[in-house]
Amino acid sequence: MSAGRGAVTNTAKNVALVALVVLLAIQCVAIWLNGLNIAQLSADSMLRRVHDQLFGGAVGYELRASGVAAAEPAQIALRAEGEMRAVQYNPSEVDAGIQAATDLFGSAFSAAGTFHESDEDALNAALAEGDCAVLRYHGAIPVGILAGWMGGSCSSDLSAQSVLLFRDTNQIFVRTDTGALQVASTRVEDGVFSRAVRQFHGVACTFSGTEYTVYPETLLFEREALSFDLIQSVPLHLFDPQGDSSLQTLLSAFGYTPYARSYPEQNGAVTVYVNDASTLRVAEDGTVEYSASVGGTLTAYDKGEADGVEARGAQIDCARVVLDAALRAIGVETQATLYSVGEQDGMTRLVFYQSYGGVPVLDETDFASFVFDGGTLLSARVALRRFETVTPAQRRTVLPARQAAAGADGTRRALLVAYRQGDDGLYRPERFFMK
Amino acid sequence: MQWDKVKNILIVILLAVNLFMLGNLALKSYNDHHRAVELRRDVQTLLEARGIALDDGFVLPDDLVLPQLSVDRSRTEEEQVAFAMLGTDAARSEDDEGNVRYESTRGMVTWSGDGTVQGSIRQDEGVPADDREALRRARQLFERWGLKPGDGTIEVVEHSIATLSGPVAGMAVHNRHLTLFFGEDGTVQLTGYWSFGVPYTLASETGVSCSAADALLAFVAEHPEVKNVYGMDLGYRLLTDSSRRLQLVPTWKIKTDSIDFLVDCAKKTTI
Repeated sequence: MSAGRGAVTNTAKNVALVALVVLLAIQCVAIWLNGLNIAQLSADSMLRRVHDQLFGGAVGYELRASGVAAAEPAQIALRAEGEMRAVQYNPSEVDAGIQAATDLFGSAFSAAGTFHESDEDALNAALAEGDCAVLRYHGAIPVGILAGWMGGSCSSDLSAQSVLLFRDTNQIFVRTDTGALQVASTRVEDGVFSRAVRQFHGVACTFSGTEYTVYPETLLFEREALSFDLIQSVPLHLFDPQGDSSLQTLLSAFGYTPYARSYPEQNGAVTVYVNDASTLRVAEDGTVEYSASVGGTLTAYDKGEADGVEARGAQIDCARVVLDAALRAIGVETQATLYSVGEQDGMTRLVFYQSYGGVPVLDETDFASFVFDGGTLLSARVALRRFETVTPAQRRTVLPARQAAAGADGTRRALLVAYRQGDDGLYRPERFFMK
Repeated sequence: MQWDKVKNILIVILLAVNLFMLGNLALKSYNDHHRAVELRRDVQTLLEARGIALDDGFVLPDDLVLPQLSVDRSRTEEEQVAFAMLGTDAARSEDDEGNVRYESTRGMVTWSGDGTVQGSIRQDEGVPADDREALRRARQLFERWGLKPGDGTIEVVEHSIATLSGPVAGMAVHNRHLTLFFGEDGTVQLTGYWSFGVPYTLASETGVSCSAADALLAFVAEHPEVKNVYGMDLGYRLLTDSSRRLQLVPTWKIKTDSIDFLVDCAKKTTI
C-alpha cells in the first residue's frame, strides 16, 4: 500500500518538475522576446514576419536580396516568329523593355543548369532561326547578380556582357567579359515568352551573324539614325553656399556631416574631412576620395550576415546608394551604371561608368570605383561631373551599326556608342569598337 | 530516498525561479500599460495646453514597426487596364519622361512613371441619378477595367464623383486612389495615383518605428492653427524617390477639423 502511494508521489513530482521546466523555458522566451527591438530586426527575419502577422504590421510583400538594378542593358532585343525588334540607348525605352523581359530572363536564369564552354559556331547555329531574347551590357555583370535583378537566381560565377536566350532549343548563352561563350540548358515557358513579346516595343533589326567580323549577336538596325546632343562639363560649385550643388548631401552619402572636422589642402582646392574611422577628400573639380580603416562605418552587411552572391549584391547595393546620393548632391540627370566586379586578395572592386541620356560617357579615368573588404567599404573614388547640352543645341548622328560592322577588322568585335571629350572640351557621341 | 529529496529541492528552486520571473513579467506588463496610459494623458495635456481638442472617441494608436516598401512600375498591367478601357486597338505612344499614352476612338489614358494616371473615356450613360447608382456604376467600371478594389473601398461624393482606394501589403496607402468624374456628355474622367503588383523590401532592410505620440506632437508643433483632432491612422504614402522609383513610405494620417494631414513616420514632418 505504501509502495503504491510512493509511486504516485514520485510520478506527481516528475510531472511537476517537467511542468516547471517547461514554464521556465516559456518565460525565458517571453522575456527574450520582450527585450527585442523589432525595428532592428531585418525584414528576412522569421521572428519579424511572425510579429507582423500577429501584431498587425505589413504583410504580403516580397523579400529581395537586391532591390534595384545597378546596371541597365544598353540593348534589348526579342525575336518571335521571324520578326525581331530591339531598343537601345534610350533610358525610357530600355526601362520599358527590361520590364517586359524581366520575368522571361528571371525564370530562365533560375531554370538554368551548369554552364559549360561553347563556341561561335554553336551560337551562329542558334542565331540562324527561332525565337530568342537578348540582353547586352556595356560591362561585365556577374550572372548571379543579374539573375537577382530579374527576380530569379543563378549559382554561376560567370560575368556576362551579353545574355542570349533561345526558346526552341531551351538554351541560354552568356558572352563573358573575356569574349568567351558559355552555354547552359534552361526552360523557357511559352506563356512567359509570349507575354514578353506582347509587351515589348522596339524597332526592327537583325543579328550580324557571320556577315561581318563583329560578334554574331551584334544588333544591326534597319535605317538606324541614332543622334544625340553634344554636351559639355560645367563647374560644380561644390563649396559655394549659393551654388546648385549640395555639399551636405554629398557628405552624408559617405556618412559625414557638415560639422565634421576638416582642413584645406592644395591651396584650398581640396577639403579633407576626417572622422574616427575614415577620411573624405572633396576637390573643387568634383573628385571625391574616401578611405577608411578596417573598422570603417560605411558597411554593406555585417560580418557573417551574407555570403557569396548575397554579399556581392549587398556590396553593389551599398555602392549604388552612395553613388545615387552623390549624384543627387550635384543635381544631375545622369546615371551611374555598374561596369565590372573584380576580386583581388579577398577585396572586391566595383567600377561604375556614368551615362548621359542612356549613352556612356568615356573619360580618362573611371567615373567611380569602390573597394570592399567583406562588408566594409575601404575606399572609393568618384569623379563627379555635371553635363549639360551645349547652347545652341547641336546634335550629332552616330555611325550606324551596320556600317561600323562592315569596317570592323576582327580584332575588336563589340560595338558601342559613347560620348568622348574632344580637343575643344565638348563631348561628342561616337561609335567605338571594343573587345 | 536521496532522489526523492533532490526532486523536492529542485521543485522548490524551480517554483521560486518561476514565480520570480512571472512576477517580473507581470510587473513589466503593468508598467508598459501604465506608461501607455500616462503617455496618452500627457499627450492630451500638451495638446490641450496648445488649444487643440482631441475627439471623444480618439484613441492614441499603438506604436508599430513597418518596413519601407518599393513597388515596380508595371507597364504590362498599365497596358491591360488601358486596353480594357479603350479597346485593344488603342494606339500606344511614350515620351522621353516615360509617360505612356493610349488613345482610341473611345478616349485616352496616360500613365506616368510616378504612378499618376489621367484619362477620359467615353461611356454610353450620363451622370448617375443618385449615390447608389454612382456606386454601382463605379464598381462595374473598375471591375471591367481590371482595377479590382480587393479589400479597398469605393466612396461616392455627390453622385457624380466616385473614389477607389485600396490597401497595399495589408496597410492603407493614404494617397493611392483613383477618382471617377461622371460627365453629362457621357464621358468619364479618371484621375489619381495608382500602383500595381506586389511590393517588396530588401532582406537587409530594418523597419521604421512608427510612434503615434511622436507624430502627433510633431504635427501640432508645425500646425498650431488646428483646433480639433479626430483620429489618426497608420499606413503608407506612395511617392517616387530621386531615381524615379516608386516607394511606399510609412506615414501617419491625422484627421482634423480642416483637412487630413500626412506625417512621415521616420522624418516626423508633415507632408
